[in-house]
Amino acid sequence: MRLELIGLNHRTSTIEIRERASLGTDRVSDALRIMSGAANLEGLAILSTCNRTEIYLSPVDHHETEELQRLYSRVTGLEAEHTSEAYILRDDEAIRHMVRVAAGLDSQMLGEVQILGQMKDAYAKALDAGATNTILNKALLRAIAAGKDVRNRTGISQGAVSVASAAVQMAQRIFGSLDGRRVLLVGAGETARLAANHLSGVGVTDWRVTNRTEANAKVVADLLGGRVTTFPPEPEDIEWADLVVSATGASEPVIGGEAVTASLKKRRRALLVLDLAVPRDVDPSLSKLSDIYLYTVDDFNELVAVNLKTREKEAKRAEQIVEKHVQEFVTWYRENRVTPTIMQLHTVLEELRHHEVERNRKRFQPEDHEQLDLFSKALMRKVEGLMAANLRQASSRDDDLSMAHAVARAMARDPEDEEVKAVLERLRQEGSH
Amino acid sequence: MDQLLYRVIPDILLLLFGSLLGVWGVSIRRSDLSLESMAVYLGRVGAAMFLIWMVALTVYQRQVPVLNPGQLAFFLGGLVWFGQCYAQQRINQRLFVVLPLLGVVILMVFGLVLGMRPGPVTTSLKSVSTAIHVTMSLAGIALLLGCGVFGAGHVILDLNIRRRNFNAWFQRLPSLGEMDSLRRLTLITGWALVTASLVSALVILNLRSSDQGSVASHLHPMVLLATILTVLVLADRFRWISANKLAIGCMIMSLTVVILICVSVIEIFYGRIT
Repeated sequence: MRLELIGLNHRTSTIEIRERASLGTDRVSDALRIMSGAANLEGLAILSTCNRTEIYLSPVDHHETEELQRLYSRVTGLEAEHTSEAYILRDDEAIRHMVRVAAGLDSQMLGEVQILGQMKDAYAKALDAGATNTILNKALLRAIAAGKDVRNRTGISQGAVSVASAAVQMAQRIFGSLDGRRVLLVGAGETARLAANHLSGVGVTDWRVTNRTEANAKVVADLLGGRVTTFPPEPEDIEWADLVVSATGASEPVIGGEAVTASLKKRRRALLVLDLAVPRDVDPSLSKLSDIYLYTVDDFNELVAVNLKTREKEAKRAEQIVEKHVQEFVTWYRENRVTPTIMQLHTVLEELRHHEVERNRKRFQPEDHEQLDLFSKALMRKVEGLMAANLRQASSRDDDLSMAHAVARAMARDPEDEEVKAVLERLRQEGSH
Repeated sequence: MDQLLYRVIPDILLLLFGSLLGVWGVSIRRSDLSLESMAVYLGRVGAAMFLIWMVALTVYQRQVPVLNPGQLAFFLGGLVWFGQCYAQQRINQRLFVVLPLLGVVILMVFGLVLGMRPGPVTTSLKSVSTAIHVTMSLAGIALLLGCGVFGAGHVILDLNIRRRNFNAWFQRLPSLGEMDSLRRLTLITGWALVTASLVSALVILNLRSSDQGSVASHLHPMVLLATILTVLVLADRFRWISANKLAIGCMIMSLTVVILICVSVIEIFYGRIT
């Protein structure tokens, strides 16, 4: 198979090395433009993210390890001593790796979804630069399709894997969509802002912010488009909210007391209280009230642990899906090796058909000429179809190109013809891979 | 035609819905969105087949499928499934589909065991007013059963959230808010249909004065149901109790509906109504 890759990722190298190997959007395009005309290279694509920089290649003949390392060094600017850390995979292993990367199975955070988009970007850039060939196109498209398939058919990307996203997941379990939900943010520190960012990202637009230092609350409120309210929050503020996120540095609970409890008892609609502070900001006795759901950092850590365990379990099923896609690509590749032979077959048969039809045309009435053409074409298609199917089957089943060789030779009127020679040379190269 | 409508198509429908239950059963054990999409599509096909069969049977026997307990069970199963398809369009219910689907399959099995081919029937069962009354009642009951299922879902998820059980129910049930809004919708629509059915029954009662005694006794469960429903609708509207207690109330109401419908069916087909 004429496919190989070289790359560095979070498993093989330190963050410093990965940073140096990483290519921005412009550098990827430049590298593709420069490298795409190189000798012994028919296809090229580059995937560069914060955790990996990989170069996918479709050569005429496989490169030597040193050649690939030099190429990697040339593209990324990394010194030779670091390129020796790079992994090099060829043929089946290369396509398997590409598919696993797109499926999120090779990611630092198992099942992460961004990698699929990054793989699509890498393909789009290579396509724009005209750097891909049929094999690389198929390999990248197969990897992207497998990535989608894995995410659709397994739960590998489901469930939050960070505390902030776990808080969002919990809110979604209670309210469904968070569009139009009202959030009271208690605190204006790093944790409160991070949680607010996550909630903004899923559609929350209605905010009240409260903090011991009002100026800080105003900064956050301005960022979120909300308004500042008193500290500690009044029962009226809690009554207003669907969701309370509390993350202050206070040593005593800031949400609790008789007034708040009395107000919450009357409200009769769900309230999610996310207490992200240590020590806790919210009086734990509030969780005893019906319709009040109180969650702390420890609960979210537990949820994240469960989600990670689920992802690991799903990874086993994902690997099976990956293998199916790898096998489909390998089968396609093997069948495709005989395409030049089939094209030669078509050319020869079409020439013969045309010649014979013209030679015998005068024996038929003019009104039968069209039928003659149709008949001869149908006959040719039947013969060609049968031979092509058998050639593809033989090529895919036992990796044997001898039948293709035989057909190429048998169909050659002149064995010294350049086109026939080219077909035979191509078959020789494929056979040697 | 007789054999086709009373035996072959109901058998095919049971086979289809049984397979569908199997597919959804598989999706409880593993997350597979492709499989779920296929199951949703298959469910719609099932609903369409159900509808065609109901229309064909209505035309053939010149009455909606209410001429014996078997037909009633099948009819109710179909209505439950139509409600389910409607709910599925609004929210992604995922493994929650299993509960109504199981109900549909049980009703179908009952229908086939009791027999679909009607024996000699009373004239009152053949009338148009009976068709309207029974159809409204069954549609209302189907919605109220759905209401109970959403209530059950609410209670299960609430329990899992409070106990920090991050299991499949937690991950894959619709959200509390979605189940609450669907529970409210089915409760109010079911209440409206049952009330309208009760009013239509009273109109029939007035029109047929000779049957007053027997029909009135059949209406007792309906009056009881309408009263329970009115209390629940008011409790929901004015937030007398918490959402979770309302959900429990809806579950109990749903169980009551099952008992009352059994009482009604027994009274209609094996009791004193002529």
